[in-house]
Amino acid sequence: MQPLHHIAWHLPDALDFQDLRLSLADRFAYKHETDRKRVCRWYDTFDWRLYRSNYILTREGQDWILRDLAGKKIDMLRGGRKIYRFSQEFPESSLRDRLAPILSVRALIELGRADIHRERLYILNGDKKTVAQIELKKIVSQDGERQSAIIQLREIRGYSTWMKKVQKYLLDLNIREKATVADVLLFIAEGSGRHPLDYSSKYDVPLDPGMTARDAALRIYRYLLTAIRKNEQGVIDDIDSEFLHDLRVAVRRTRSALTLLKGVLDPAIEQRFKKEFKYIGAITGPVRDLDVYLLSRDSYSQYLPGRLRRGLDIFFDDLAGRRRREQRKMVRAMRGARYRKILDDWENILAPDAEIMAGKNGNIPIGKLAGKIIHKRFRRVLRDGKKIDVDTPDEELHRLRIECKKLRYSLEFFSSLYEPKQMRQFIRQLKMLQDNLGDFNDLSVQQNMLADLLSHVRPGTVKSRELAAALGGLMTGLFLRHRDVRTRFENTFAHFSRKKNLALYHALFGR
Amino acid sequence: MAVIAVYNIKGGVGKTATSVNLAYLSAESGNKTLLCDMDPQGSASYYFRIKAPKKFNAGKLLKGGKAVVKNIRGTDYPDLDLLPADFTYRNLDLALDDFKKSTKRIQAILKPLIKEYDHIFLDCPPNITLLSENIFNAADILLIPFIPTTLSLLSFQQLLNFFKKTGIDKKKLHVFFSMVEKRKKMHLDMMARFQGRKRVLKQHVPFLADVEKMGIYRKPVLEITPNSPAARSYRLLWREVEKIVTK
Repeated sequence: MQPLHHIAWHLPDALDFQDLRLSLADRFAYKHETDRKRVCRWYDTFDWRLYRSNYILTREGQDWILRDLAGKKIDMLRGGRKIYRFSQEFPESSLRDRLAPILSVRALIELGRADIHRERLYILNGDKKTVAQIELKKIVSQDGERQSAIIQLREIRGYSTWMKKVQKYLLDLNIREKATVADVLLFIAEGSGRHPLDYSSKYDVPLDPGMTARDAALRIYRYLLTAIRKNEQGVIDDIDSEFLHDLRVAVRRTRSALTLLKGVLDPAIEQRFKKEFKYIGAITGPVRDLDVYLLSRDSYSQYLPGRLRRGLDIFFDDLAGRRRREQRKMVRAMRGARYRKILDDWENILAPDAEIMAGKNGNIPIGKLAGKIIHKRFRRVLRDGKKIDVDTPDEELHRLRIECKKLRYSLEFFSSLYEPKQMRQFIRQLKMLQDNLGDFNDLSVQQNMLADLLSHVRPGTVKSRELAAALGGLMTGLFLRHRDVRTRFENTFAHFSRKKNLALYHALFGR
Repeated sequence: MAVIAVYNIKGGVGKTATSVNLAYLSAESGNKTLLCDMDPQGSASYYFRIKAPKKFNAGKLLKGGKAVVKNIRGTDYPDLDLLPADFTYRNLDLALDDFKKSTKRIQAILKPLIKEYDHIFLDCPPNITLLSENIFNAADILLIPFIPTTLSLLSFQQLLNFFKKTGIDKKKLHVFFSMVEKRKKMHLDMMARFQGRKRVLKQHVPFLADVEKMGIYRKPVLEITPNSPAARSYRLLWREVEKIVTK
């Protein structure tokens, strides 16, 4: 079956609804309806996950409506609650099933709201049957300052000739500038200072091999500082776990760049901010650690038999309580003088007119310096990795994990300087190794945490017995997985350091 | 997804009113719905102010595929489409002869449409013919409006016998009382005899002038008087049918 046509245009300023109605009456019989004014709210995640998936989510009155960017209604939830932040808070519905994989752990935030005035004109034939439908929509920002008017024409199945007739008539009225729902979103987002796709957690700073290391470093630092700033409010308001995660990644990247690009800026500045960003990492660490546990709540309970799960609830409720306290502490620190001063000073240093001094490596072209940095990191990873065998203590694997991370950051910082396809391939290879080491590390940390918790359980009550049993069950599960991940390390590393991958490395970096 | 045929051997039992209003309710609850007017009188088409296109006829219907899709019309209501009836449908039985008296032709015609729609309603002509047998095969549910009188009982018995003879699954059958007049003792007695039996729906539709107004306004009752007792009984009836459909 052919899909029905559905076209939208911007209504020229000179034409108001009444003019249009009168003009149409010359040619067509129609029935006219005016809807009550409705408040409409637009939603997406901070990083535009719905928009990226070609969706727009609104709440009009009590109804949640999901449309694609062409304006076609995809799904709808009638009479929902006022606010749902996470997909799992929606009642069981096809809308929830659609949203869940897209939103994942991210929360919906309101992008903006507007009053919608809607009128409908049903074009009628001789039998007074509706043969085409026109919808006039005026969207007025809530301060009443800005407005946008849109006319939509809908085909009714089997009456395409009528649709064409009306379309031609509208064209004669000079209605020709096509509109999309995305235009409306643009209009709405603008009101709250946002713009579709203005944030992504992906790192993307293009460099040019001829630029000096100093300029390249400044570009990287500025980008990362912007990422920190953009996430601050979401961290403070505790909207979802990803604000803090993204902020911390930007902090870690900054610290890593300060180390990797040593001697590019004034050494005194590098020294100071290495320490300063370490402080920011430290004040934000505890909440993130707790987030990691809380996010894995579902997967944890899968490891336990049903009868031990009650203890798990006690465990997680306790964690949630601890997280609330840590969150308050973190917000106090982020509002504190030291945190503010660090970022303000850093911003001033990075300001385009600050004329910050270059260090001894500052004037080397970045293309040249990048190769050196990457090579140094790569050699370290190979050297340390080869030394590891079945008997190597866990700490060595932990160290290798850190080395891999440095290599990964250096690849990401400089990826724009190299052949993109091979670069992606090489990063993918490294990622496999990192995943193994990352899992290994997470499982050690979690086991230690549980052991620590277990040593503090006071015996005697039913609750503490259930908790202890659940902890024991979890520790066993974690231990088995930990051992499993460890036995896979040798193979994973051999895979990473195999000839083919070394050849890829040489092809990329010429060393 | 279900094909719901509204059928009775007898005429004038409220088949069209049932098809039109239930199809309307199905669409209203968000299901993409198609109503196929199979009755050469074309009453359902008339209620929706839709005329069969000049080039459409019984032959085109039986051809199926694009010939059918091209003639589907959107009604005035969201998610509700209609395949109008043509007067040539009176010869559908003869035309079926060209298909070796097939009893599965209608099923084959509906097959591609099942992908497009959540529910398909068939408003069937009275009689028990080759076309009826086609419809019984195509339908997942046969909804039988039943005026609680002795004559109706007789025709229902005939239908049951026919099902037995042709081997069509009688679990498809669902009966509900239609055009019920509470002041008639016979209606009440008859209903009392059947109430609570398997495949007899709880909800009945009373005999009401509101339903007849559909011919004047050319709209479903639910549009003309959405809060009338007639509208309410169709709503409750749909809720019951919907449960069977989703089972």
